[in-house]
Amino acid sequence: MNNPFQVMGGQAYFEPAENKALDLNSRLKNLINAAPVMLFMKGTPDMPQCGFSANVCKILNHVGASYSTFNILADMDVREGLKQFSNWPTYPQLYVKGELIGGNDIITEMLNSGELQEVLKS
Amino acid sequence: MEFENVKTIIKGGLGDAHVEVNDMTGTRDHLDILIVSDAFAGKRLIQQHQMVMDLLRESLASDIHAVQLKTMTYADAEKRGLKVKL
Repeated sequence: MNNPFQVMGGQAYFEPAENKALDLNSRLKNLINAAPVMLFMKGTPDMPQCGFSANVCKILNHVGASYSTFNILADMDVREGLKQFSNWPTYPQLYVKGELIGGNDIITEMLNSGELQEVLKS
Repeated sequence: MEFENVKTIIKGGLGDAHVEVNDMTGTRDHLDILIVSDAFAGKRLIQQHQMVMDLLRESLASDIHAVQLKTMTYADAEKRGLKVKL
């Protein structure tokens, strides 16, 4: 976020073929660390397929975060695997530096308390 | 799923918890649950929710379709002006 040339907003992450070939756990580990702010959502920032996913994009745009997204609707292995991996049953899931921060409810609450801005700044 | 069950399950895991359960839809399967406990101190919201969801997992699979959680410590509750007691 400190780079003035970096575009604010969300961009769909393009997963390299080498990563897709890895075993699921290594693959997921790489995916959640693919960008400092990584959102696993239904659809894309331009075309969200779920109101909760759309809302988290809106919040991230609002706070001026730049983030990458992964469309879990397009990949059943990731969709099911990440739920187990992170012990969290629903999407969207927001990761900052590889750490799960929350879904729509939590992100909304953290926006209102200012905690989200702190986490994104660090 | 009886509300008292939900309370018992949560209190079984978090001894000091104050638990309030609200039925959001009138169908007793979409619950809004407030949990106040000092076991949440120093933990991120996601970890607080995971602690509760781990406790509820068995009941969630069968009886409850959706839950909305609100978790906080007693100090947080006081800051927010909520009247809860141990």
